[in-house]
Amino acid sequence: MEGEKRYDLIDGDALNKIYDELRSRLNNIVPLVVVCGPGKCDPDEDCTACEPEKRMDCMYHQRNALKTALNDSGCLATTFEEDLELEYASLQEQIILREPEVDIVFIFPDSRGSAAELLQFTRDPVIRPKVRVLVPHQYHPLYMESESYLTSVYQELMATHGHVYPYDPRNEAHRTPEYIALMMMGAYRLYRLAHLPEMSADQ
Amino acid sequence: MTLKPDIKVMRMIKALDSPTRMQIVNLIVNSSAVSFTGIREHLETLTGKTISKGTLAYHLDILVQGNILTRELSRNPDRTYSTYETTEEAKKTLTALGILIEHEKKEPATPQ
Repeated sequence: MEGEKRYDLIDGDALNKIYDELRSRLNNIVPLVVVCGPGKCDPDEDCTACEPEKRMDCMYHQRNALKTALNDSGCLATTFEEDLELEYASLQEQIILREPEVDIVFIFPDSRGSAAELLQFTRDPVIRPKVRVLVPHQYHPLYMESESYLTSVYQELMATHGHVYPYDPRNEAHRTPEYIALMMMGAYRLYRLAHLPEMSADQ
Repeated sequence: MTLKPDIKVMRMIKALDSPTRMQIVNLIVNSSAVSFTGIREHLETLTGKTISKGTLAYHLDILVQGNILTRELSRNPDRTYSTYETTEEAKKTLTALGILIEHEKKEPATPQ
């Protein structure tokens, strides 16, 4: 009919080609992730002081488990070295986290000092969009189970930043830090894919 | 020689995507094991700028995670020493990348 717009149906092969191309591009995106968290329980040991059954509660082990899971999933994940006895460590970390190559920063705050550092990072406009905070669910403001200083810090962050996620490796309802982080990195890869140059089916 | 762009190679390329890390790899690939202090001194001589321990540790860990370098730790009662070496896999990949770059120089890709 005259004036009617016609649409050509895309054939299955071309659609499969686009799908394969998207999958391959998605898999080739390597986000650079920094995992910040507590150092070893005992600075002189490789944290073997923790009995295997206590490692679920040890944030140092959780930080390292998250780093390993992210690296295994195709990200490039790093942590700050704790053996260096740095002066002005927090300032040096802030300079690194400001680098454009750093895509996402996961933080496990475990003390008043690290909560202060967290606030310092989230008040930096360059670092702030990259920060994702992982907190044990009992300290998350949503559950109102704790009246600690940390919970009030998280509450402020929930209101101003939003990215504060509860975890509990013992309870499936809250998920593990690895599960939460890998879900987020999947979404981040899709976001990055959407910002890659245009592609066509015949490429 | 072809280089399959799998995730391992992509992670290596991402790990190399920094002038500082390329300078580190250039130093280590042509040497045997190099210490943390040796790398720091080399970079400072090369660039004429100081590099903080924290920044160097960050770059080195990315190279280790990207499977380009291996780290060997040795301890004495006072402190811990780290030495770094290039992995065999990285040497092969870097050689392949070098060949690709040389090939590109000789026969630049023509736009389609």
